[in-house]
Amino acid sequence: MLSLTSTGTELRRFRHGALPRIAVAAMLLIPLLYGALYLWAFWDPTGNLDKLPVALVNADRAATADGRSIDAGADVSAELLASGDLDWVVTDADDAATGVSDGTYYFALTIPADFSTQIASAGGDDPAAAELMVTYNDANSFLASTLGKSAMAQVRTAVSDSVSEQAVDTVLVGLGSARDGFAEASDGALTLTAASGQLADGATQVADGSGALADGAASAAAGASTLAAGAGDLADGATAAAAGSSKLAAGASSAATGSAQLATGAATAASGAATLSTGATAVADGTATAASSSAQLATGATQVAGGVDETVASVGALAGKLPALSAGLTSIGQYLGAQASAGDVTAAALLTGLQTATAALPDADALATMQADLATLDAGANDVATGATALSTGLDPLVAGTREVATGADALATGTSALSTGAGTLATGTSALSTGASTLAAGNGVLAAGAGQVFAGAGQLADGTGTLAAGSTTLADGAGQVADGVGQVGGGTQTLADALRSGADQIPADSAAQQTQRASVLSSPVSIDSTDSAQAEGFGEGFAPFFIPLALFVGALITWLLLRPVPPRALGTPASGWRTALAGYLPALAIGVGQVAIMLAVIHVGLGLQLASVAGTIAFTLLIVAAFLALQQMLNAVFGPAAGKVMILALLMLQLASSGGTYPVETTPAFFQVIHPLLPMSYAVSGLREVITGGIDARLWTAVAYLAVLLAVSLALTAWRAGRMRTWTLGRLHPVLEI
Amino acid sequence: MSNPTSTELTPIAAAEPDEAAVDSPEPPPAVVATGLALHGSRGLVYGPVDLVLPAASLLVVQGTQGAGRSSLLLTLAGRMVPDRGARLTVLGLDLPRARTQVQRRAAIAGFAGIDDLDESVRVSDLVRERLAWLTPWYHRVPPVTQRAFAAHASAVWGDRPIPRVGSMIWDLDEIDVMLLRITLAMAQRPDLLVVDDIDQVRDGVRRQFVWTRLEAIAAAGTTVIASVSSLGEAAAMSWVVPPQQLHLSTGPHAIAAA
Repeated sequence: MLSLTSTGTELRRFRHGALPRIAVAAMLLIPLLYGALYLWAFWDPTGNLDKLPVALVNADRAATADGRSIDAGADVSAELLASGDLDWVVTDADDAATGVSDGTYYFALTIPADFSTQIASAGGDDPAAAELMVTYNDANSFLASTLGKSAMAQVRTAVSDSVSEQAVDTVLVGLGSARDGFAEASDGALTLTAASGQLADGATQVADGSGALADGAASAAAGASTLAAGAGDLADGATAAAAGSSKLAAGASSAATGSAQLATGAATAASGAATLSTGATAVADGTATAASSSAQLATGATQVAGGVDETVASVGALAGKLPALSAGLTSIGQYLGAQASAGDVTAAALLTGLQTATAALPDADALATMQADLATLDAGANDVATGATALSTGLDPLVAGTREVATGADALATGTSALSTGAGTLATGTSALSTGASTLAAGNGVLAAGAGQVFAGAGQLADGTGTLAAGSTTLADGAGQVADGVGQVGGGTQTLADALRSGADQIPADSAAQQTQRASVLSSPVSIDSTDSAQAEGFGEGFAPFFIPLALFVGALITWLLLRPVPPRALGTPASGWRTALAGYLPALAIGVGQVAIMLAVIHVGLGLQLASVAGTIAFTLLIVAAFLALQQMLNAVFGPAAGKVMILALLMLQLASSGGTYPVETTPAFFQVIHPLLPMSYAVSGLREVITGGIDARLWTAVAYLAVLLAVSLALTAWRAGRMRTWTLGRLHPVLEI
Repeated sequence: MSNPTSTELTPIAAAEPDEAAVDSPEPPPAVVATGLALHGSRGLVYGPVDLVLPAASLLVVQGTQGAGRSSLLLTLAGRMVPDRGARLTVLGLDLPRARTQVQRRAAIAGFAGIDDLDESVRVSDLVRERLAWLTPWYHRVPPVTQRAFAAHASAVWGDRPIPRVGSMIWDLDEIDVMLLRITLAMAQRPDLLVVDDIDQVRDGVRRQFVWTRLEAIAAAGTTVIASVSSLGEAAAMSWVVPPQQLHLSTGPHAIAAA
């Protein structure tokens, strides 16, 4: 034996006595307890699910569909009982609820009352998914619930396969009808293509027509503008006519008044003439008489003079009333002026007329002249009387003349009477003229207003026809686009017709047998044909790669509790750090080899774990234990026995959580994903998976390289540290804290 | 803080170096220490010590438990670093710089927690283990026979019967355990042997035998430094040549040297 490989007395000291031997046994068996015992307990939980008590409640009532009776609930429960996947206990709802609650059953599956009805509905008008109800109680066991959920997924798949086949069959019948419908639709689309061609022609014509309409509307707009201009002229003319006829009315009115006065005067003249005639006769008589009685003539002359006085007086009174009339007209004029200022056209016209009439009245000078004339007349009459007196003297020659005068007066009376009659007729006619002129004036006003409205309307007509012309152009454009669009519609419907035809061809024209086969495939279209490149036989084999390194890490911890990582006696010699490190490491490695041998043997022989590569598993497991021992020895040496062991325990916990031995590390928080590639157990787990389950690839060689480097680096650090430990410090000579 | 240190070097007899220098060229002193002291986190551990120890002589270091005996002995054997400022030369080598060379030439025995012997192993196992560590790694180390053990042990045991190599340590007398620890240290063929706590041989007669053997080892050329706690130990024992003594009184329980 080379002196290098000597294990010294480190192991020999356990040879004698019961307790040291028990300690060695503990070192050798601790990994077995951790690894094999755990694996044994969890070897095949899913394979023993048939011992898991689960309540099965069938509350379903049979239903009828297409004349067939469906009792799906009974079918499902019979199938479940026959499968024996779980320890089904057929019971009622109350017992199931109580049992799930108190843990008698881990969970309960209930087939509801309408289960068959819902299944029957799959082929009917209102299909609804059938439901199975599962009641879990995680307080019974969370993992039991999880296992139950995966079992329920299988139940669901089995039930839905048979149910959906029926539904799909119905759908396939409908698809046959759809094929016919598609053919008809294709024909219809062809008809639509022809119709859209016609629609395109019509739209083209609409475009042409609306072009013509636009032209016509433009002409109409021009005409309407002309009309508006004419109507404006007409309105102006009518206004002028209204003004003129108002003046006419006013003048006629004045003429009527004058005629009336003339008639009155003529009547008076007629009566006077009659009186004159009578008088003349009388004068003649009287003259004759007067010839004899000129006194009477004189008297008569005096009476004539008196009558002339009265006439003068009455004419003077008439003239005196003229100023009052003038004042009244002025008031009317002011009123009309105000109205005209307020925009009343009629008032303006009336005012114009009134002013004309007022101007026609005699002014004060004319009246004075007239009164002077009257005074002259009066004086003349008096002169006549005087003359008459003189006349009476000279009457005789006069009698003959008087007789002729009487005759003449009589003729005058007759003529004057006729004059009077004519003047009355004149007055009546003038009055009618006045009325008519007023009516004419009013009518002209209405005409002017109407002409104004015609003007306004013609303006709007011009605008409207302009808009119409623009709109017609737009219409023509739009109709052109419609024509184009309809052309495209024609193309599209042709495509539609083609597509519908090809679609109809693609829908299978199935025979009844084909339909049944197709329904069967469609109801479960995907079946999984899985291939495992490396297959773990069960739960136990899946977890063995996790528990073995875990057990070895704990085993190394126990080993270093009993063995001395750095043998102090070696430190007392001048032996090099390498020798000291190996003197501590080799005895522990011997224990580690024993641990591996015992654990692998028990797992393989006792539990029946099949190893894809026996030699590879043994070699890799030995590498794991060698690396773990070296790592822990290094931690103990570098940080001291107390801090080192605390660090080893902390490292154990970190590795447990981050090695990915249970759940894939990707499912863990980011912290564990970060430390996962740093810690050795991650590599131990992934490498063991490959040598136990098979499928060896680069991951194994990565793990081997990592563990080998870890082993070498740990030993080197221990050796360096051991070299320095040959010099003691007070702290190591008298440790403050010892474990 | 500890009491003022009183350290004194007391030659018991007139074993002056001058006499030895008469017939041979004087070898360098095994230990030359000036102001040697060590402070720890709890205060002064030992010192200051001034010491000149001739080669092939025996030094008895006396101090109570806690007086810093083990630390001083480890320092002299190149296995602990004293305070800066001290001057220490062991076997002509400057410490603490040349620690590795001093460790090769100075062996230690009797230190609790360092060279304790496992109770449940055989004598031959311990000897073979020590020989393996002291041999180049590529050499084969055969099982230790009684003859091979006697070759190593006779210089230490003297006229006392050597134990059988198959004996368990728990069967050995306390003096044989001490002598075995010294034998294992001497397997290194050291120039300086440091033995701690001679008091672990509780019987005075047996302890006298140990002292005699240490004197013989020193006389054979290996300088020996041994520690003891009993204050009157040197006076109580009989010596061929009275050894040098070094009294350490450090710490709260220090007892002034007699």
